Amino acid sequence: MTEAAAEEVASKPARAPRGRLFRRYALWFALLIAGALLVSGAIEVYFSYQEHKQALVRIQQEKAAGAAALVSQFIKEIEAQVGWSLHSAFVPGEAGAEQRRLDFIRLLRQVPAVTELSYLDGDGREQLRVSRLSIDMEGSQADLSQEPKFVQARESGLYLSPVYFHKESEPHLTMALAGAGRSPGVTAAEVNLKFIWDLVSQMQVGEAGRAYLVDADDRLIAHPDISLVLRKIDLSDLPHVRAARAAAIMGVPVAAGQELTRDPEGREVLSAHASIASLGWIVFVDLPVNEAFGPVIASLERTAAIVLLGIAFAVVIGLALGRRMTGPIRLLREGAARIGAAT
Amino acid sequence: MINRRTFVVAAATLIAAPRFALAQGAVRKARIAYLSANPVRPGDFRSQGFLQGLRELGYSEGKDVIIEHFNAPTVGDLRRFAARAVASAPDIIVAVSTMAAIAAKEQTTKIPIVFFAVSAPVAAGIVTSLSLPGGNITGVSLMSTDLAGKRLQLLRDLVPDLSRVAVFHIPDNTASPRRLAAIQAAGAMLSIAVRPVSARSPEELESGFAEIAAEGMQAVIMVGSFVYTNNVGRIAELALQYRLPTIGGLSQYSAAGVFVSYGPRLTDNFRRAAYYVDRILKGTRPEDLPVEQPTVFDFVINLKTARALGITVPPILLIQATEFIE
Repeated sequence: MTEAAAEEVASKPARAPRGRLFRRYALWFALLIAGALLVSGAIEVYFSYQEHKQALVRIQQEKAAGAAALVSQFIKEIEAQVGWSLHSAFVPGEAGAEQRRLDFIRLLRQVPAVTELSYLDGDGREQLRVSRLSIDMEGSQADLSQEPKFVQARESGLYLSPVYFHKESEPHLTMALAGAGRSPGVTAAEVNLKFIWDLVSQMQVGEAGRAYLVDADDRLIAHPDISLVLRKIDLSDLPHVRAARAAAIMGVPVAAGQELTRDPEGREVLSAHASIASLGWIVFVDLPVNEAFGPVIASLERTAAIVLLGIAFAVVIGLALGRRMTGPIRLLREGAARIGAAT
Repeated sequence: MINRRTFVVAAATLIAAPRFALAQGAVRKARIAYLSANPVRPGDFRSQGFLQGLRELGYSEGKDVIIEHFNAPTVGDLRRFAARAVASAPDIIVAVSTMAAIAAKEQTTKIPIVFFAVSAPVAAGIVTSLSLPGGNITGVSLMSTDLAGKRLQLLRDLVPDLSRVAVFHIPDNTASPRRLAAIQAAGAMLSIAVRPVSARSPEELESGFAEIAAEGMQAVIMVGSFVYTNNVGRIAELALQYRLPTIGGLSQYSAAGVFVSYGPRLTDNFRRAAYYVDRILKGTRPEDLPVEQPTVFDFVINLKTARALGITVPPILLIQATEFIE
């Protein structure tokens, strides 16, 4: 290269670089950085979503287990009370009958959920009936020896009937316990399940979440909105109820992926459940998806904002670095071109 | 190109707009038409219970909800007053008592109606069933017909050797024949003779008591009605005068001096009606709200009256009582 040409090259200011080379470099820089950000953002959001969902389902499962325990406790307490009233069978004759009547009346007074108590003797004949709503009956001798409450209580000690709807609108069940001894009598109690509604409706599940209870036939028997219960809604066609029922029957946990579903009111929810084996009932705890995934969506928005910022930054860097890189290259190219032209 | 001025104006508008929109969308006051017939009156314990229920749900009378009273002087005027209530175009009609509910139902199939202080809504034809009321009307039931037999049985437990009981009722009430029939059926089961007495006014009550005392009746059942509830004091006096143990359906009876009363806890009933109003105002359709029945019952014994009547209440009944009046 001649001295003159070199001086010319050196003295020429590095012009603002334009042209294909610059654009290509700028583009590659931007793409590289943006690509890295996007990929990392996407992976982050995906895993965050999965983890969040799992954490929520775990919390809800614990709530469901807690509710199931409460319901189970409610039934067991009534069982205990009814069980104590069986002791009067050991007091012979008239005194025993008086004691029994006293026990029944005390039980009705103490347990508002029980609406009626009856005692069947060893032959299945009704000897006493004490009721909150109907007339008390003594010594009616009605033969109830073929009734499931007598037969099954004698067989296994405890009988819990399927949920029935009194007067077409109030969920009840019959609980029957047999006494001890060779040919024991049976005490049967009619339990108004509206009181379980109290338990279930007071459960706090986030802001708009719900806890509800279905019986062995998948009919709703407790829900914060009691009007749904009184309508005796059948939930067996809801997918998460079907899945929970199948799992409960087989004694295995529900397969993952069943949690997002629609609740009895038609909202999109994240659902968890726990079953009460002795009754065949299942407790569901639902949280609406927009509340459940609120934090995830917020995190997604944050990530998106950061990615966009990052891309903008990447473009700026790309421009700056591109200029830095292509400037000298261009000068060299021009210099080489001149040299080539000069020779 | 957006210049600075345009930007500032646009930003200011955007910031101001939501506030403006909020002011426009402020909650409109709900209008309730309260339909009743004498002797049920606005301001009585029923409406007070209902208002308390509304307050507990966050409604303030005058601020969130306006209640207009349509109080018919007699039951016969209910149709006119119901028509007026409907014409006032309220958001909800609250009907107190069976007759008011029936009158309101006749006048409109569009405006939601909530009833309370109704003893047997299905039997009275107000709703098709408890779980699916159907149509635009729903509410809370007192299930009084079902308790008729129980009241007779309690009397039997309290009065030794009970075999003759008089039953005071108002024949014009739609619910009366059914409740009378229920008591008579219970009487047949318990081997107690039941003698109905019709009494529509305090004067007829007086002559009625004199008559049954002369016939040797041993106890009295009052079939609930608004006339009787408004005259509990007089009834208690007459019962004491003729030394007749009497049972009523509301705790008001015992508080006023009647021997015993057995019935649903009324305050729950009235407050629950407010819950129905709340649900309907928030958009639930009346046909989606089943009729609820009471779950808590009050058994009140007036021990002072017991002593005056010379009755010793056996312990097994003392245990059952939820409240004592001394």
